[in-house]
Amino acid sequence: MKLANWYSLKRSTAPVFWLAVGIVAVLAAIGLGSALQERQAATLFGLPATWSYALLILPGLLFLLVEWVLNRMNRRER
Amino acid sequence: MDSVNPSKAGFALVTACILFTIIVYTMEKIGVPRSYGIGLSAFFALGLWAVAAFSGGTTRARRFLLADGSVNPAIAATALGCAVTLPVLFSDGGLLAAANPGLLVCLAGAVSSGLALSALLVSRRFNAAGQSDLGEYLFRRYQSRLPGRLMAPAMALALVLLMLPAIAAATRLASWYFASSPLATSVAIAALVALSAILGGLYSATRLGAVAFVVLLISVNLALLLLVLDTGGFPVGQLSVGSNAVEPMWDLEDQLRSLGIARLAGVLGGAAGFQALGADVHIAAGITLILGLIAFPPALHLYASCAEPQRAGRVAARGMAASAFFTLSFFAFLMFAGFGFYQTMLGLPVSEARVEAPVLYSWSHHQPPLITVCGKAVVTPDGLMEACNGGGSHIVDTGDLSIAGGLFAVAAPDLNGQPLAITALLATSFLLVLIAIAGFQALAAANTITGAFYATKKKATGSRRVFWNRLLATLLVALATYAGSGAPDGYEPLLLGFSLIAATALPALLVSLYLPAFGKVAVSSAIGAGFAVTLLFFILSTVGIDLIAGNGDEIAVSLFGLTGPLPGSLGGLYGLTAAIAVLATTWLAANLGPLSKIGPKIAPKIARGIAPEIAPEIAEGRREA
Repeated sequence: MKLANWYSLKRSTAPVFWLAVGIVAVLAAIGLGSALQERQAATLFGLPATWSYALLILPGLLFLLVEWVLNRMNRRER
Repeated sequence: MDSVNPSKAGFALVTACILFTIIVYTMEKIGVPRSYGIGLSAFFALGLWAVAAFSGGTTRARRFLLADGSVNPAIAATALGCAVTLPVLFSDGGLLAAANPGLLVCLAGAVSSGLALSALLVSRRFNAAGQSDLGEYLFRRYQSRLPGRLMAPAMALALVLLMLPAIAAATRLASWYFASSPLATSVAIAALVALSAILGGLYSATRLGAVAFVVLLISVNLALLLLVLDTGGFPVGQLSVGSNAVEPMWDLEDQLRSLGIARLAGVLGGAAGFQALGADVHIAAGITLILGLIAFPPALHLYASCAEPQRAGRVAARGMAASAFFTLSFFAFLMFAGFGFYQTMLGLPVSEARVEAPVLYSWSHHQPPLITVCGKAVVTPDGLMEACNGGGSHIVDTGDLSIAGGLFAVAAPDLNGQPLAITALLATSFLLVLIAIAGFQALAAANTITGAFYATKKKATGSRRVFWNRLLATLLVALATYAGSGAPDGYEPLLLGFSLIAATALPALLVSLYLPAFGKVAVSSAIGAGFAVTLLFFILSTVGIDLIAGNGDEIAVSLFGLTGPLPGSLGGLYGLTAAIAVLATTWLAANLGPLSKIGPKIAPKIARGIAPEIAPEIAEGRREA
């Protein structure tokens, strides 16, 4: 019994998994780090870097990445 | 849908908003009572709603369910931006920015990440499948009614939970802004939400979502621009928010703290319990939101309505960009508004406040009063002189004030001395967006149920399905309105709704799109396990096994990395784990356990019954079962 069509999965969505793994890893690291240091929300998110990351850089990078991956998928299909 | 030219429609919408703002501004300046401006905004909101919803009214099933499968990508992307705004926007948005900006930032990042993953993993493949909802999609995919019929109740519950805070927030806002009775307002809002969902289905809901989101972007950015111009400096508030609002406000708040003067967070009433939890719990909420948004049913409907998979991907990516732009603007607006509030109020003698800060008395006859001074809702300018002990010479201190927290965002322009026109435009846009969001949820819930229970029948017809959809959407809206009327904290239903989606729809959708080895039994078991574990965790951790809250039998289970127990509404993280565990067990049983030996033996026999021509190949191992 074949678990999945890994070849097709790899061809079409390889960057997606790294993106997902990256996001989860970053969030888990922040969560774990904050838990270990007993930081409160005010100090953790009080950093302008966190704000600009979540509100400006993250969406911008994600948009560029998603557009790039979708364009690659479209070109491959054609 | 292609008959709408997005550029022309957008231009008309911008013109209408500007005209409305100018008219209300002029009315205020020439001395027309404020209630006329407020009344005009009711007509403006109703007009925009009617243009979008009624012009999209239809009786054609394909148009109702799939918007003819030819929706314009720009309109769909804007509507998607609207559909995912709920976690950031709904009434506590203003409260969040002051009390816990971290949570607002965390939710905003989660919305972007969730939509990005949805764009890449789901949008194109779901569009290629050709169904509008998860119920019918799972039936067509597995040729079995079981997965869809397990999914439908879970999705209906999740979407009603998501509708609940949207309808409650819209009712609170409208009841306050129009000074109407809560009961009548709640009935009116429920009627508007139900009509948004049933008049034209996806066709009208998409239009309404796009219109509402454009008005929201205009209102927030206009309010932001005026606040930034007041502060001075670089006029693009989205970029200058850090140096021109956040840092000066924090410096000021540090000084206030050392002087023992109340800060904005303490002035805003109605802080919910969830906001006070630690950053680790907020990140767990963000992860739940990401997971739920990947398989968010309204987004799936919008993907399905695109003409081709490529367009669906583009819609998802642009919807994410639109949502991110709104969140950034909204955050900047709230920060500038918070800083401006201090500048307006601090050190103001009561005698001057009568002229400089009319907001202190102008909304007092609305319920709840926007602001109380020294514990009193002041109705007239002269009333201010008697409100506090010092009389006219009393200096207003933030500790004297108490603001209804859920109304801070919409009243921020008024609190900063801006014209009523800006508050009116903001209130109109918030109302439209909340109605459009709830309409999307109602439509998606009804579609999933009819897709699973009606479209799977042999004699099903499109027109009859539309009828059932309309009936169900109306009932679900009524249910959500009734249930939401006494809900104290909007976050619990919101997060539980996303938890249920993450634990049921997400594994089922990803497995059906990417893992063909898993059949209907595995997927159905995963849906059942995810649903049951999420609900069970919620019940056990909020009320306990005896269903009585606060008697000490509630469970407190932590998650790796958390300092405290996981709130019950985030049980989707355990639900998803259970669903994955069930899938893994099914696979192991089929491949490694006794079933793996039985499978190859019975496969040729089954194949002989349903496809005799390939049975010999299966028996000889030349073809997979």
